[in-house]
Amino acid sequence: MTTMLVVAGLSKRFPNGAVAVDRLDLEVQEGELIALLGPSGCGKTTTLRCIAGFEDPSAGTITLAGRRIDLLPANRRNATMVFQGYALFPHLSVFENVGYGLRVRRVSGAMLTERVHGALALVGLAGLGDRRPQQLSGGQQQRVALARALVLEPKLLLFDEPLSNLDAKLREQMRLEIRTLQQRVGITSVYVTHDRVEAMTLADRIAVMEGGRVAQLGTPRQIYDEPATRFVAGFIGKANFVPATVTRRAGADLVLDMLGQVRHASSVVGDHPVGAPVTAMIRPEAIELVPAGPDTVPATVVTASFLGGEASYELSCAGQLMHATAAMARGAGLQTAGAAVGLRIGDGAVRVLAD
Amino acid sequence: MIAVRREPAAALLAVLVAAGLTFGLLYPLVSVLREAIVGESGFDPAPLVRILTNPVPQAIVVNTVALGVLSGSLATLLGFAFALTVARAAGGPFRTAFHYAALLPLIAPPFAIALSTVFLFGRQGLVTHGLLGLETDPYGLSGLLFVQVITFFPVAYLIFDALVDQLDPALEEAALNLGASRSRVLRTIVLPLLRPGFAAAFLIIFVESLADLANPLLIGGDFNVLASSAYLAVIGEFDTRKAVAYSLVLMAPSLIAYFVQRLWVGNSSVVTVGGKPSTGKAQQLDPAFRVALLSLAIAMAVLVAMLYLAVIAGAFTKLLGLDNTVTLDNFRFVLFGIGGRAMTDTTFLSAIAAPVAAVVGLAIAYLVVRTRVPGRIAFDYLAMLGAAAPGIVLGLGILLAFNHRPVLLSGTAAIFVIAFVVRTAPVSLRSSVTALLQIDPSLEQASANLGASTATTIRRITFPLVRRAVLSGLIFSFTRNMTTLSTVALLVTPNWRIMTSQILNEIDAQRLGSGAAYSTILIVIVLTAIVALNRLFGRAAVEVAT
Repeated sequence: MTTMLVVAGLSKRFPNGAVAVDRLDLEVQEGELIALLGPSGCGKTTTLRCIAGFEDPSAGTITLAGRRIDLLPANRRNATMVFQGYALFPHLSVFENVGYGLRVRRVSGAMLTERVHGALALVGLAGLGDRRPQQLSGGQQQRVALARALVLEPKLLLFDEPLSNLDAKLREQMRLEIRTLQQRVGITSVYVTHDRVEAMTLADRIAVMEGGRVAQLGTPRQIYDEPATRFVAGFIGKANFVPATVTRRAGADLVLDMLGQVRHASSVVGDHPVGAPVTAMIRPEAIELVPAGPDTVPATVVTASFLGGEASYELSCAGQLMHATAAMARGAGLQTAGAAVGLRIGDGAVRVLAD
Repeated sequence: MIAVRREPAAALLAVLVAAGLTFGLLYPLVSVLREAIVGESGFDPAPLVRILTNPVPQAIVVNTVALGVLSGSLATLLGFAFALTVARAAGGPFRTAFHYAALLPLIAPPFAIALSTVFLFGRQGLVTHGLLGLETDPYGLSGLLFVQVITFFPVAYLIFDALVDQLDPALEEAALNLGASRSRVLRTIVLPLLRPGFAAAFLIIFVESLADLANPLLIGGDFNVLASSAYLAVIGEFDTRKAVAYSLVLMAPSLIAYFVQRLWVGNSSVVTVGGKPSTGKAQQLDPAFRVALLSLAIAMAVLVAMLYLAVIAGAFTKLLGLDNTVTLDNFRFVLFGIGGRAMTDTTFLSAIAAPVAAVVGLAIAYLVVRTRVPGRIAFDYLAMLGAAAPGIVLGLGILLAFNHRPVLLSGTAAIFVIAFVVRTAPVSLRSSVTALLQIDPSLEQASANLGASTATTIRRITFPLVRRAVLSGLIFSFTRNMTTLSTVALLVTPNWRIMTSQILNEIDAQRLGSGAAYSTILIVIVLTAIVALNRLFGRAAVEVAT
């Protein structure tokens, strides 16, 4: 597999002094979809706009298919974008919108018609070429934007929160469609979103961003199971952060005193000496509610919510509020608030974080 | 009847509006028509036909339309170039300077630019004769065109300024992203999206050019147009029939252009499609094109500034260009002669009419947007006739309608107030309609839901929210009233003196210095009023807030 996009040392400082992107490095492999995931203000959109050429980086280089592109004008980059509000030209028909980039490249006649129709068919809009963008539904407009970007067969496809204007149901459907299409075409993509489910559904790898830098880059599973920082752990899913103390080191593993119990953690970030206070991260679904017993942590149910396929609990445990979820089989019992329960936490569920 | 039962206040308002429009607008316009086709022995259109089949008026019609088309095209292009410069080519203080340079001609009395054109570029012009030693003659089509383009390009500028602001930057980014060059983005995205702006600006300026009376009188020379011909027919030949014939011919293209603009162009804008504001930034222009635009804008801004300074300089010299001795004689002559009366009379009448026009416009807008009164759309279009009809035609109509019983008003202040209100209420109407449409009805529903009466809701919710629109209507009305010539030129009697009409007299008498002094005073009054109204309404806003 070859590297398609290399972003090296990218910084963007705005005239007012704000640093949106701070020495960011990123490599995207050919055919891969990378999601830039983060809260607003983390620099993900600015990074994307630097790649597209709408912002001039303050420092750093951007290389696409072995060629420096950061000094090229925006119209010479061969990295087409699906815009947040779609940015469909309201004075042009759907056909003309999709054919716009081809015309710019002096494609005309039967070739143009064929490629535009091909792109429209690809996104399931065959036969709607004569419509105006305003006459289409939000989902259809989204597909036109996608077809317009795809028809040029660019080296890189950029997505700027393309689904944020759609309702939840349509968003879910388009998510899967974009993923299927991207894999079928095999096009390298960078996808900006603040929605973790969107990122996990779509991306081969996720770059979680914080403060203008990549906090962690990895597959959805790596990010979820082995978050590098407390921020990443909390942004990609729900997490319990439990204070613990290192009592002994066993090779690379740590033995912890946590919630009054001894736990063996093999998943560790950073170097922690004996006696050091650390933060242990535990996902809610890794906490099992059982009758109180010798190998369990005693806890009290504070709230219990039935959510259909699962139950969600808030628990009070050693003076700390913990969150646990449990799969609910049909007819399974729900704990009630105030009940005394035991928590069973497997050793494999504990991850020790650096901060 | 259901409407009356449900909204008695609205029904009453509608009756008042209908009566007012019929009396002040419909009756005068019908009077023009009546004069044209009704002779002493009943229906008799023969004189009308005789006048119109004469080759002289036919040449005048060609002149008028040609001037309108040229003026409309050039002023539209210039306004576009200026708006593009302000939005995309200029930065910081330059942008502000260009903006104000473009707005200056809007508050100029109708003679000011023509007058300074004579001072600077006339036979004895400071620039053409004094500096370059040329023998030029500004009188005729070229001079008239020059003056009209300078006078009217701000109209186009304001239209494009608003449109360019609404363009979604993401569209241009998308085109760039698809490989289009900057000049191609301008050609294939920006220009097509602004097409309604071009049509609107051209048509509005076309109508303004047709209605222009002052400039053709002052600088037209032998180039006769319909408005000036109608005026001269009344004033010079005492032939109202002839004036009426010219007026009817003038009405046709004006009304067509005006209503095409409203019905067709007004509804075809594609610019405001996007819902959510985009995060993109406006793209820069092609460097060479940017330099060209900046050069043009600088040249224009300098020209406008020069023209203004020339008016002021002309007011303080004996005869600028010929005898540049500094003197206060012009002001002495203007302020202590008839001019003092004209100043107070014109200001008084304008100040009376402006709030009336603003309230009438707001009332009709309220009927149109917020009530279900039958015929409310007809009110809207009828009221717009006041702005669509050329001023000279409206003035002629008012003269014909009110110079005999049952309503004898000639020589009174009322006749001027009627003319001013009918002429300027449509602008207040339009800005009020826009403002009302922007208010979410749920605000007023909430007020009603909390127990407020309709009157209380209007006073506490609606009016505060449309205050800016009313203020702009007020300022526009006052400015227009002070600076219009065409509407009042035929109504002036010794009882009430109008400044623009006095300026015309001074220029006729070859006292250009006095004309410049009048113009300077007029500009000062208008600017003072604008500042004062802004202050007054600004303070009111603070009081409401605290």
